Amino acid sequence: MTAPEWDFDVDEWKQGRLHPVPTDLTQPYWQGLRDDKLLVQRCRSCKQYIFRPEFACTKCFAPDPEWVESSGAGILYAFSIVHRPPRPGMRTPFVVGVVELAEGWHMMTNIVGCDPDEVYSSMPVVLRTADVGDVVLPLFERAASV
Amino acid sequence: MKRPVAVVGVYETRQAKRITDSTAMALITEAFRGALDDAGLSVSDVDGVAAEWPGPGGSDVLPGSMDWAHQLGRPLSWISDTITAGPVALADAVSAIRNGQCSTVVIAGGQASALPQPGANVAAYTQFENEFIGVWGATTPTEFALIARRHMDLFGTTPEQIAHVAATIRNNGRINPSAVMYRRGPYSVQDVLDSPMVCSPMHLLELSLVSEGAAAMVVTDRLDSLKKEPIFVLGAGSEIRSNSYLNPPVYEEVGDIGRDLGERVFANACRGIEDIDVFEFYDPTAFEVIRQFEVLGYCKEGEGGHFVEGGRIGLNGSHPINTDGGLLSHAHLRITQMTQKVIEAVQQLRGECGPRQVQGAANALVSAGGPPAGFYSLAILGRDSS
Repeated sequence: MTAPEWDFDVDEWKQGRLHPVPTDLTQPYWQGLRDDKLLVQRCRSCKQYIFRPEFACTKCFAPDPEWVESSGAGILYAFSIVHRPPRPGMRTPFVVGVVELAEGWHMMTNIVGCDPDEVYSSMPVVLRTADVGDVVLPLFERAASV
Repeated sequence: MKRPVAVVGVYETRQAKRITDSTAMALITEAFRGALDDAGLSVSDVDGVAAEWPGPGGSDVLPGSMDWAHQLGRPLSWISDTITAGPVALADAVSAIRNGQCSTVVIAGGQASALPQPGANVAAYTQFENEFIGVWGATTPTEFALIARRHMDLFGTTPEQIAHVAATIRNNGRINPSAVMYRRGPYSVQDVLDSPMVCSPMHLLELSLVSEGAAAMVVTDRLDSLKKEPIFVLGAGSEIRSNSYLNPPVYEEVGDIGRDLGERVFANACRGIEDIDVFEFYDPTAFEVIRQFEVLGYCKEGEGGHFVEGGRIGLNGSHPINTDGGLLSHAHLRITQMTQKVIEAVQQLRGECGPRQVQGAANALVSAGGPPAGFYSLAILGRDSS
């Protein structure tokens, strides 16, 4: 059972955090999260996954990457447990993670739902969305053991 | 044969965690004057500027360096605002001078009355972008920490090895009267490991200061009638992968930043890596020193933790690092700390460093940037222009 203090607190998030400001380029990503999907760009030509979103492929420069759905599953590639709050009102400790999605691309996130001391490199993780009002955030939590 | 270009004047104002009784412009103009005086030159000799204009006033749209022309009361034939500090500005200035656009450049910058009081939350400039990085509470130290974490996972680099780098650098700052942390310490590896964990795996004493003050340097190809020995810029340049701090840091993608640059700059400088007597490495975290010894070819990838052990990186060692106390204990002025590392290299090669002098130093290496910064810059300086 998850200890509530390690879980994601929407009210705490609202007071402490920098709020994302979507752009025309990133709007599909944020809309996807509203639909509980993690969307990512992929080059139509070389199939390279592109994150963060860009206007052209970052490998072959082909135009107009398409948005595809990620599995939302991966491993915790690296993490840092933050003990000093960068902004007033942020509750610590919290975990900044870089997740390697199954498709091979990386994104930054917060790991929630477990004690930060239980987090480890290569930990299997899975997407967990959180509606904070103006956006839906892509958090990740430890994947349940099979 | 490349025309010799040298750093001929340097100056730092007082450096402190907070300076609240002055303004950035008051300190930057003091540094500007001071560097010219150190060179035995005057404002009328200056025809190029790479300097911040922190306001009040100034242009929002055009480079801040432009505002200096009016302030100095003379026309400038070259300005640059790519990054108005350190090896980047040095490389830009040398190129412009060799191209005949100008002859004497001042590089200057600093800050005052800009930071929250100590004990408050981190400096605003460590928090970038809010869609994919800032929203997660990631700061610049956290991004550097993620690179260290991966290196530790891949190669077994230990907390003790990183702490040893931090203690070495801070003990240099302890004996540098210019350093913000002058007289603090001495520090042992255990002292560093006992300091609070800020963003794992980085402890407080392994992380850069934020501080206030200003600094300036003068670069020129006019080598007649100088007050002090000119220190030649033998090679300088940059490698750029992305804008700073906007991408999730992945060691396999950006951990080798600087490898190609190092080969290019050493070749341009006609020096081998064994020729460097003193290293002023960019140290936002102590781990970055380990990474740079690997990337520049002093040891294999993954062996940097072992390479820095023992006395090798101390003032009397074969590879002395960060002799002024580095970013950990000397200063961090948002960007002008990059210039301060060049200044320390110049003073080492002039033989002006007193108790922290590396004996017989003839060639120095200065770096800036790192994997999450998306760029890496180097400058190699020497007493001999050939």
